[in-house]
Amino acid sequence: MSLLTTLLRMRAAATGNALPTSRLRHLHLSDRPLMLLPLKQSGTADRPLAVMLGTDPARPELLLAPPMGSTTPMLTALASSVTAYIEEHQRRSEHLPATSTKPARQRFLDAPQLLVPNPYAVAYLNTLGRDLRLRPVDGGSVESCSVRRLGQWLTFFAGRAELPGTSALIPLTGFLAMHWVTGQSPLEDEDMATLLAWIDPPRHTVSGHQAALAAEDPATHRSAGPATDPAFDTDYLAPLFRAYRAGPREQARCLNDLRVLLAHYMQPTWERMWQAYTLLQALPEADGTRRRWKRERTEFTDITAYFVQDGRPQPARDNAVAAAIGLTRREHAAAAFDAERALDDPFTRAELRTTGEAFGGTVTSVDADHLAYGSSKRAQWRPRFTVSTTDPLRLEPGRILACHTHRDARYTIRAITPRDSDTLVDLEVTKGMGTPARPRHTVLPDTGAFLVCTLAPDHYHRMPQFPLPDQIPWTHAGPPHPLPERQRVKAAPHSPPPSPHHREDHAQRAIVEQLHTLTHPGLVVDAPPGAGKTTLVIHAAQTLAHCGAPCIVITQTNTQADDLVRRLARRHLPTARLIAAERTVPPDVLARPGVHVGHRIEDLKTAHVIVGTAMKWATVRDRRWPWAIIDEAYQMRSDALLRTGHLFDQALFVGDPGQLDPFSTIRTHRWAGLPHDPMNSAVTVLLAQNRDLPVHTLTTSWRLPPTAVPLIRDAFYPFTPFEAASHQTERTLTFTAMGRRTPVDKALETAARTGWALLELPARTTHRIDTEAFHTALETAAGLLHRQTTASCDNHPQGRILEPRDLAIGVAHRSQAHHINALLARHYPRLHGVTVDTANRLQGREFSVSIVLHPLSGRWDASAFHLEAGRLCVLASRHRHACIAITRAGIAPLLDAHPSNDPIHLGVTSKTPDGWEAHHAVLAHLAQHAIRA
Amino acid sequence: MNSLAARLDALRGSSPPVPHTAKTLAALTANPECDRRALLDAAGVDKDALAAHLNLPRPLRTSAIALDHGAAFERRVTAQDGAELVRLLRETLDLTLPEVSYEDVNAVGGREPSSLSLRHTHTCNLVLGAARDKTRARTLLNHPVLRLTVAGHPAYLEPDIVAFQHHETFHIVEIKSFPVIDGQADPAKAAAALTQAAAYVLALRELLTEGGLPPERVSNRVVLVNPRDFSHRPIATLADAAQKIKSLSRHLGRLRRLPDLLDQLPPSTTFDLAPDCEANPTRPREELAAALSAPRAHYSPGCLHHCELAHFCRNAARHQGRTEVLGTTVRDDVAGIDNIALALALTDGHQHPSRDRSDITQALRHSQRVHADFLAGMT
Repeated sequence: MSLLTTLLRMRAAATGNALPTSRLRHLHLSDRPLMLLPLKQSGTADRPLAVMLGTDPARPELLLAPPMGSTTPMLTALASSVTAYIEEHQRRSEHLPATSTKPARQRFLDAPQLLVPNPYAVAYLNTLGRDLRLRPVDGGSVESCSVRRLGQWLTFFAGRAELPGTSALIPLTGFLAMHWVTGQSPLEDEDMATLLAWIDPPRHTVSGHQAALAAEDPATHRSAGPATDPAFDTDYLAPLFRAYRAGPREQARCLNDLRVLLAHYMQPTWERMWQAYTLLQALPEADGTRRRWKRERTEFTDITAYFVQDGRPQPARDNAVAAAIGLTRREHAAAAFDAERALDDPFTRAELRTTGEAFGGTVTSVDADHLAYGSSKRAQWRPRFTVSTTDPLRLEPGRILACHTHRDARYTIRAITPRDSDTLVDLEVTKGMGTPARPRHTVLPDTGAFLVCTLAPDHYHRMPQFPLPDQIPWTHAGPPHPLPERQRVKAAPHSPPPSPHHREDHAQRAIVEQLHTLTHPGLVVDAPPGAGKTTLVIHAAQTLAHCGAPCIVITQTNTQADDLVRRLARRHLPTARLIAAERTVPPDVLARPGVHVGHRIEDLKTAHVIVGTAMKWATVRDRRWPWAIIDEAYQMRSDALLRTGHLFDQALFVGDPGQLDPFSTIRTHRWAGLPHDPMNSAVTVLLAQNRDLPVHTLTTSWRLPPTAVPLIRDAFYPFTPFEAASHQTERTLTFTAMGRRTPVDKALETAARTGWALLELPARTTHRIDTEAFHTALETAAGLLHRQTTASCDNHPQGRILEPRDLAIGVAHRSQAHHINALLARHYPRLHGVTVDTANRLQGREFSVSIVLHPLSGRWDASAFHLEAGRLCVLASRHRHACIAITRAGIAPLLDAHPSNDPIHLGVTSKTPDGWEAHHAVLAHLAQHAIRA
Repeated sequence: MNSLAARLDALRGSSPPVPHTAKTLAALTANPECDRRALLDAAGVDKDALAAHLNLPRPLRTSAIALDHGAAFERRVTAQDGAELVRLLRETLDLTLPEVSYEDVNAVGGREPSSLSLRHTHTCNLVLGAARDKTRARTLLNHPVLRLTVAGHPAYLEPDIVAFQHHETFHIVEIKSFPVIDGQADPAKAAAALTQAAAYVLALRELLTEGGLPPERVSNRVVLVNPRDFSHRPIATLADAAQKIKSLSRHLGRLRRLPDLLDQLPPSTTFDLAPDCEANPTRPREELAAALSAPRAHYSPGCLHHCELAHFCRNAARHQGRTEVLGTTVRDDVAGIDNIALALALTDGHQHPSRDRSDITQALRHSQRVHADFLAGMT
């Protein structure tokens, strides 16, 4: 959804008529789809009431289940109709010659397509498929076999429907909503009757809005299923059901009445489904649609082969490997579908321009002969040009863009210069321009041309490798790897340490020393903010590497990996950096003595420690090391752990349990409640599968000042008690220059005195972009610099004047960060070097003073995203000296009125503390340090 | 307090009050910002009757067929003095048999069914007796009646089962007819069941407190009994209701604002349907609609799924052209502007934005320009 769609929705509401959006169809429509309208008996798990189906609008087939007793005859009839339709598509196939990666094979020329009214019907077919495919086959009777096969087919179709961009099974309401926007809410759009009334009102109707109101009339409205209207149940079905139960004599008559009743009930929806089909078929197909349908034919060919060769029903729930593969497939499909639509469809590009993920503008200058000097120091021909745009940008230098006019070319952003009335974007052609000898000049636009650039699709061609089902690592409840006999190392003598410093050294040493004698396959170390995670990782790597065998370190991001390599190299450890071929290492890392960089593990033989991201490590096969250290393990998704679990015998997991959970671009509840849910964090899954794994806690924060620790601990870490390493007197902020008694100055002084300040702007519901609040944040940063603030701490007991790099401005949304950065560049040149970023990207970073735009500032509701405890925790725990929060007044009533109807998944432990409690705790504390602006 | 009761009675009018149920309490947590709903429920107004009288669609009626299924399932689970239930609870709660006693509070003193207050007294005696006497058999109470103080009033609640465990802890048991398939239930239905159970937990805690016993003896964890997979056989799941309990008690606390809400109504506001001798409502519809419009509503399309009067509020919001009728995404995107016509006037430059709306106006105008580019074939 974009602001463009929002604008069109408001226009539709104002005019009373739906508006067209995308005019290109991205889903294939078969010439002969199987229209399927299922109804379920109310109150049951999946017992069918009736199914209307067919390929001819004029001749639907109505299959009826009796009110009670066996549904097998009805399901057998359904199976035979559906199977007959599927078999029509298994007759003709094409021969595909062998390629470099695939052998020669056959592919069916067409594939079956099921169209249902709405997403609820898809969910119902999925449930029905689950039931039928695992039903016992009584004595191998033909009926029970065909019913089971129907279950397998329904499971296949419902599984396809979960992948974005597929068209084996399509809910029509969602399909229509891709191409029209109505003047009602998306929730009401799920009702087929009103949605179509808006889009295609009957003739002689004043407006779509009037038609929709008429369609809602309870006297004539019929739900499109699979649930029937409760009033219909009570008034019409229930009497017939009762009569049916009364005795066998009545049953034939009842079934007949039921058939007439349901045919009448379903007919209007049946007609609407074909009406929707006609509307959608009139739209021209986008370029990518054919390609995606080819994929659909391949999938259909493959599943047919599977049913012939193996034919075992899909299991009730996915195992760890199947779940991880399923998640990756969904993410790839979604990314590919987004990217293809951006290249195919001008409406999608228009939407992306309003969200800042694309921009349009005029080419102002072209440097066709520009040469770039890469790491090889050899000049490369890299033409450049500049685009002037007025679109809001949510992109940064280094991002790679594509343009629909030259699909193979890639343009890398080299600089973004915000100006008063526009923004200049410098682009370098980094792919697709040919060679100086054989240039392709067309990829370079002319000066004055209008250009729209979108984010280039990532490298999503190939599925990564996953363990085979019999190779599931111990982290995911696979068999334990036999550990070698270890020599008992004499424990260091205990002596009571005098200061937190020594205590913590002792705690870290105790953990590190334990590693040698650890009989468990792994060890988890929970570390609150600033508790010396990295130091522990370095110590552990040093100790383990000294044992003679190299130790591998798995990080979550490339930045983390580079940072670790720097720090390991400082300790003179022979360190290697394993890195993906398309990435480059920062020059300072490359220049460090003793550091080797390689794309392949075979090239890194001499290192004691090898550092790389989980994504890169997952590509390493057939190697195993005695030890791995997994850094930021709470931010690692468990599917990444599954894919790296074959690399090590034992592992040390280090992470912060209070921060943001890993996320996925996909929303699904498919794996909820499973111990190996791939969307959970690595540690959650690890501990669920290995309940006796020891968990240690680091109990001292080196970063947080004593003013911050009690609040952060109580609000976010109820199970991880920790304290501050420093004394109150060690952490001071003092101002050299006088302030002007403005609210900002007062906030600075309060923060210097107490470690916290809440600068409260007048209450107002705002858009995400609240320029006034952004300026206040920037002025606060400017105030700190202007007043020449001196910060003293354990590292700088004499004090040090704060510079821009000591400050951070933390926000919730990327659009906010980009907007503040643009304001900073335009109006606050002295703040150059201040970090402005989202909570996600500030994780693991440390500053003297953090300025936080409160996630709930200006909100009209407290949504789950803005309420997330991890987000607030990251924002409120980046500082060594003070944290200044900026907000619109009115958060307390907002929290007060927050509804709590979050869905519940059985077997999933609820988060402690929840966002509401954490926000309340923080707000209560900040309220004591509030300054009204 | 009595004056509050009298004022709420006047608001309801001549019909007998519809008692607060766990369901209406759960609705408190779904839309706590809605003053209209808070007042209607506190006064015990029959919202469905109002909707019928106002000729509004009534999609929330319960299906007789679904009710039959639910009742049949509950009978199956509690048949033969709860034999099946005892077996399930033994597995989920580690109850050691044979000492389970099973009592149906529905039939106190041989009369069936007894009045709510009588059954409540009986429930109190049984629960407190079981709680104080550690030697007594573990007890399963079927159809107990609990009492929860809602806005100063007693509300009678009827949980399915209260189970007493040997760790001296009480558990609420809810029998629900939605299935648990491969360990998972419909997340929305599971959430509703837990919120309902949360009301029972709070009520049982109130009972223990009044009896001088520590309220912590009622567990945060409740037992859901549902049909297993696609069968009629039950499955019991222990679910953590702690967050639902916390949020429900938070929202119950907010009902203290009821006197203020009543103060804001025009004097003599009533939702009375003025039924005639045959119970047909005679209240003029416009008058009723005007009365309903008096308290502030907080409409969102989600209300259509849980409030009988949602269509009334939707009509009003649509009539006023408010942005919330278009859903949360729209509302989020144009936060700070609550009127569609105003948003469009700002977009089209027919109106100059005030300072606090300049950011959003700029964004809307940009979207408009991009749309113009699209229509001109320039994107």
